[in-house]
Order: sequence, then structure tokens, then C-alpha cells
Amino acid sequence: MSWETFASEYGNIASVIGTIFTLIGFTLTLWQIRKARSAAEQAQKMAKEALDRVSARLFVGQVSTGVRFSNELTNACRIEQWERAIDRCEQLRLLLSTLVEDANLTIDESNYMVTAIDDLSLILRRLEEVAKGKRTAPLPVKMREVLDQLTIKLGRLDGRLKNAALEIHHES
Amino acid sequence: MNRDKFLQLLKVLLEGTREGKIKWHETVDEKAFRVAFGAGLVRIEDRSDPDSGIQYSVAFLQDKQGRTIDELSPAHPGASQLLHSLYAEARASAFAVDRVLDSILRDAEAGKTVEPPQDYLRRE
Repeated sequence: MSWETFASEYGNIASVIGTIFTLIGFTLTLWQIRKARSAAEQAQKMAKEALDRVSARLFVGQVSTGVRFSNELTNACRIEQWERAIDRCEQLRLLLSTLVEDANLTIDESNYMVTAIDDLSLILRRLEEVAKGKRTAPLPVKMREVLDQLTIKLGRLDGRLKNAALEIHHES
Repeated sequence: MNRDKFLQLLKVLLEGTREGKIKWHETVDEKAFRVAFGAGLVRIEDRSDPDSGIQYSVAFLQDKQGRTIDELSPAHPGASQLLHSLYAEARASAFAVDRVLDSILRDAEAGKTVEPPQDYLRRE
């Protein structure tokens, strides 16, 4: 066999083998990139889930506080402690305004919150007028009814969220 | 600029309410009515001046968090009549005045009245 024939035959084989190794290397690199990306995505997903859990826990806590404020507001109105009622009404209104766009709320619950915030501002104005002696007590029936409904609604929401939290806890 | 836009919105609401496209709702205050949208709500109220006793209407634009973004009173040029008309239309819409009147009118024309129970107001 001449040198030229040898170089040509083995040169081709080496070239083919080289190409195969290159392809294997390229595939391995792609696989590594994919693996790294998937790990990053997994880490991101886990971080998001942890954040969601924390925000859901905070939300449940805020709704429970809302139930307490609503109860205290209703009781303060019942026993005509107007300054206390004004304080609770302001706190409840502020609290609801922070919850209104929370992703844990259904659309109906969110819409209800918008009207409840507005009603609370009207109730607050009435309470301030009563406290200053510009209006006579007690609160109109409609306002008391809305406060009772709000307490019930927030209580239901609190129950729903706590049940959902319990189910997640059991599943995990 | 914003005030003029709010005025424009109130004109649209007045037209929409008259055409029956916009439905207003009662609030806890018997003299206030509101209509809600995706980004917030508009509330219109009837007030009376404590000194003169003169009644006037005021409209509020609020975001979802209950912050008042804009407020329009009769002091704004061109707002007085609009607010007065819008309050009347909003009240009629919330109480479904037209529907109630139509129903009573139909009953009255047919001589159809509802009698109270026999023992009503009868004291023992």
C-alpha cells in the first residue's frame, strides 16, 4: 500500500471518527445545558412555591384579623362606644384595601371587598358624625346589616382559607 | 384635565343610565348610590348644606382600594345640572323605579290590588 492510499483511507476513517466524537460532545454539551436550565427552573419554581406559601399564610392571618376587627366594630356599635367603633372601622377599611387585589380571592370575593370598602367609608363618616353629636345613635338598620354580613363573609373566607391550608398540609 | 375627564365620564354614565345600560346600586347610606367597574367605582351622593339647608349632589371616583381619585361638586363649571340629573337617574336605577311604576300602573289599570290579611291591624 502506498503512502497516499494509506493516508487517504485512514484519513477518512479518522475524519469520520472525529465527526462522531464531535457530535457526541455537542450532544453532551446540549444535555448539560438543558440539565442546568432545568435545575435553575426547578429552583425558581421551588422559590416561587415557598413565596406563595408565605404570602398565603400572611393572607390567612390578615383575614383572621379582619374577622376580629369586624366583630369588634359590630360590638362597639351595639354598645355605642363610638370612638372604639371609629378606630375599628378605620383599621378594617385599611386592612380590606390591602387584601382586595390578592390572588387568593375569587373575583366575586374581590368585587365584594370593593363595595365593602366603600360602605365602610360611609359607615365611618356616619360614626364620626354620631361621635361629634351631629347625628343621633344608633346606626341605621342597613348599616348594621351590612356590618353583620361583612362579619359573616369574612368568617366564611377565613374558614375556606383555613380548610384549604389544612388540605395542603395533609397532602404534603 | 382629569376633572374634565371625570365630568365626561359622568356624562357617559348619565346617558348609559337613561338608556338602561348602566345599573346603579344602593349603598349603606340611603342618599348615596354607586356603580362599580373593573378598576374602581363611581359614587354619587345627595347632601344638604347644614347652614342653608340647600341640597346638592357630589360625585366621587374611587379606585379599588377605596382611595378617592377625584371628586366633583356643583362648584365645578357645568357640573351642577349634570350632578342633579345623574343623582335622580342613579336613584331611579338603584330602586328600579321604572319597573315598580310600570307594574303598579298595570295593576292599577286592571283594578288589581292586594288586600291585607283579615287580622291585620285588628287588636284583641
